[in-house]
Amino acid sequence: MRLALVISLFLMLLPGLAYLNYREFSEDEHFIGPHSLTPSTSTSLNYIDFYFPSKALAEITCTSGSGEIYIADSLKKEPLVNFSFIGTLSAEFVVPHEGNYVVFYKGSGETQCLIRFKRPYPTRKVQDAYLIAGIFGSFLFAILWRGKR
Amino acid sequence: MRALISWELNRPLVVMTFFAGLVMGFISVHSDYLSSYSTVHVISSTVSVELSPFSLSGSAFWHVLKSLPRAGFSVYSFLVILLGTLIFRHDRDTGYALTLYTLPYRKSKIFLAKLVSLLFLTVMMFYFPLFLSVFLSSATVAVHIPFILDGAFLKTLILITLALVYVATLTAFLSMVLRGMFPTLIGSYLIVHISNALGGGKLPPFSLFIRAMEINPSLLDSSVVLQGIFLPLLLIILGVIASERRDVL
Repeated sequence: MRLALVISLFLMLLPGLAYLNYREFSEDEHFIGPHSLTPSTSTSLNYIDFYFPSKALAEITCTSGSGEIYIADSLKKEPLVNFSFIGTLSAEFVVPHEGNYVVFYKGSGETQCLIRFKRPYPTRKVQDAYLIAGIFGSFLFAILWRGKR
Repeated sequence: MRALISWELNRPLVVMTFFAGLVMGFISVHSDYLSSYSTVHVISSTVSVELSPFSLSGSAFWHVLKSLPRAGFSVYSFLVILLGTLIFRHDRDTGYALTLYTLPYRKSKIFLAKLVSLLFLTVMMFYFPLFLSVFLSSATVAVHIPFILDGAFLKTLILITLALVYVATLTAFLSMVLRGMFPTLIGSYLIVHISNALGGGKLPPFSLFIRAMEINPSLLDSSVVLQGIFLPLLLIILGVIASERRDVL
């Protein structure tokens, strides 16, 4: 009985704990790379597979080579954005949600890419999920507390 | 037996420690979840087929998820030792065990009830924050997670659980052999940490831990069976014998 009470109290505190972790995460700088990419053809695919745990504004910087950079959402299986460049690329795009993304390149010459993430925040759905868990925990806590008396 | 277990699970100090464990476990696992990860892959085929980037699996995500069970291990080993010492020694040290042990239960039965409740709390403390932080923090893509979690992830979970079970049984055995809360606490801590320094990754619990870091660990290895199953069983049997043969002190 006390165990269930404590678990519901933990669920009730969960949004606060998650907020603390996300606040620290949002203040830090995050980047991946630099990775070097060779141009992909129809028989060989060279790609960066990256994972980011929240929504963010991303800045991709590629040096040397020329062609087109494609970024795709590999969990939802849809293209996200593509940029064409000659020599250097510096562009911004939005990482719409947490998950896995792939970056690949078509063109000529090898290129080095670095992605920086600015202002990462959890998506609305994640915030809602934590809040629903917290509300559920509070209800459970209230019911158990009343039953205890 | 059921009355004994429910008695153990309702002790206020144990429940409070369990709560602290849930909070600490969630903070450490979730802050490890919040990190970016990237890998570079090359896929080439001899025949000319349309290689679609959308058919690629989310292997970076898989690596992050697979690293999570290991994230809070030092926190969890500390909490398991603390919880075990509290469950096994606190009643004896404060003296009310003398009244408890006059009840018509065998001493070994009380020991086993305490062990079952410790293992239950350990497993709860480990899985509850882990799955909550994974599923809630990826609510936007939650439908895709079950496809990423596969047999290798399950094996990692089992290996880390076995390592925690080893720590729990070690604490149970030492609390029957040593007298007092602090000797047990320090003794089990010393053994867990010295096995890391001495064995060079060959002694439990770190051998199981190192095994869990592999990409696709094998479970039916002789060292896993020996250290993850036989050694805890031996410690339980020794603990039962020690609890029967020693006074309640």
